[in-house]
Amino acid sequence: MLKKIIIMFGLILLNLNLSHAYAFLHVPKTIEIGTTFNGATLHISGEVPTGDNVIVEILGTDKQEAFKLKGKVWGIFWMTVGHYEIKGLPSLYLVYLPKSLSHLSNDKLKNLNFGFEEVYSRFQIEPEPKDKRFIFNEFLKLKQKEKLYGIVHDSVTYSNITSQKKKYHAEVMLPPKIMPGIYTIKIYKVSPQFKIDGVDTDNFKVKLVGFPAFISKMAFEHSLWYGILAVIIAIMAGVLMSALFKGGGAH
Amino acid sequence: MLHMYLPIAGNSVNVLLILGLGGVVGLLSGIFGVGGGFLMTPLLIMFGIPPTVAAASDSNQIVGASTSGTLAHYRLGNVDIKMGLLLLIGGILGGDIGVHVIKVLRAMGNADFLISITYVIMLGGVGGYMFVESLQSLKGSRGGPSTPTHKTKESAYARMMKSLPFQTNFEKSGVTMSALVPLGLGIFVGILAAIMGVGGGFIMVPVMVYLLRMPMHVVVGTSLFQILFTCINVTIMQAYSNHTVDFVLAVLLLFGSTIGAQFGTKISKKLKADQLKIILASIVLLVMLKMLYGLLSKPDILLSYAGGH
Repeated sequence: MLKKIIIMFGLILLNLNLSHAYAFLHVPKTIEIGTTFNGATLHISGEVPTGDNVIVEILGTDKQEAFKLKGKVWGIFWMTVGHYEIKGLPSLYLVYLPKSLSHLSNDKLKNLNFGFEEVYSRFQIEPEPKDKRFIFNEFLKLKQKEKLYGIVHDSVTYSNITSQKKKYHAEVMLPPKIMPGIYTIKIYKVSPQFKIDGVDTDNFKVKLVGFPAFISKMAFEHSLWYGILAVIIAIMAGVLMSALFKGGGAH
Repeated sequence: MLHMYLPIAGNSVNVLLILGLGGVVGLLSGIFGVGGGFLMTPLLIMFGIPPTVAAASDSNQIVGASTSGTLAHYRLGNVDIKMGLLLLIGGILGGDIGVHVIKVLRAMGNADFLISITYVIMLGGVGGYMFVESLQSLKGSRGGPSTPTHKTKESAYARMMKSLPFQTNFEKSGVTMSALVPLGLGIFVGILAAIMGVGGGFIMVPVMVYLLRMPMHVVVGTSLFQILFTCINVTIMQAYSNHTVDFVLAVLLLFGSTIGAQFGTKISKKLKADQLKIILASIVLLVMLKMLYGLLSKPDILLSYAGGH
């Protein structure tokens, strides 16, 4: 509740200064991954001319990842038939569309430099497969299942509409699988003729804090001690549990 | 629903779900003397944990569960330390050989398929044999210890065993045999376990029952003792070399599994040897069927993250 009030207060304050400080605002500036993190919501708001539409794009940095592909062999068995390295694609790709643009096809979105077709144009894979498009589609399915990629329709709303300007707002749902790093927010202003009038950009940070940060630091910077401690704690837990049950439990 | 973030897996999980999962697998571990990795790792992957992190963190939690189980069985006089150490040395040697075998298989291509099909055949063979044997034994003499039916075969086997050097008396198991036998069988299980990417408990248990002729209850305790040391080695190596041990995940699993292992031991004590064998055989056969289904049915998504087997 307190968190919600702080976010609302922050948004109100930021909105008051909207025309002076930034072309758009987002709260929070930093997403903290703590012990009970299970995804986060990023609030984005701003103003555009009344005739324009807004598309919100959230991008992670490019990431190289290794995958394996399953295929049918000997007519009955589904097994791994290839290993691939995929690069050139962002670790996170979310597009938020207003209701008025939700009907746009993938090709139309591509013309505006959005959507999965645009992402495909940056898709690099090694070794070169027979059917690049097929692997990209499977890649998309995997990322969409993890909620790291997505096009969310009817998710940018407008308010305070006057003859000259209107306010927009989007609530971006960041998935639990989001990795620490710097992420980019791009706000595209789309004219009634479906042309980009302008792009505003800002970043936000995702970082580990508290216990997860400590564990991550231990695991990567003191890996041997981390392994030994993990074993000792596990043995102690086993001994403790054994001692608790020694006297004969209820069952 | 309370969620907890796993910093190495890079994902959050439902705490109750993981505690429950740990509890069920710990229970099986305590009853049958298996590590439960063959069951736990695929389930963790299903809940969004990367395969390498799932396998390494599971090893970490098995350390706790098998400590708990080993101590409980030790108090009941069910741990043959001498036999366990020989199997362990063999298992470590076999594990190293198995890692090289995997490299050769990968270089030849189709390694994944060979691994899966070895898994299915091994599970099917071991599970099927145990099931039939225990069923016959249960029908024949209710409650009595299972006795091999082929007398001539047994005596030939016994003669061969007696002719080997380094004859040793294993008091807890009530058998006398060459120390080379558990060592050799440990190597065999170690190779298979490394190829299949599992701890090997479900292969080791039938090996101890049928080839080493150990009493079922001592088998369970000794298997857990051996698994404990194997998993200590795997956890430290994985943490040091690959940074894939998620301690938060391991602790959550541990809470469930150490309690489960204690209840499992109590249940194990109440069950007869043939009952234990037939239930384990059924579980092994179910896992085999699941593996076979995985090989025969089309996955929803054909692309997956590389890592693990």
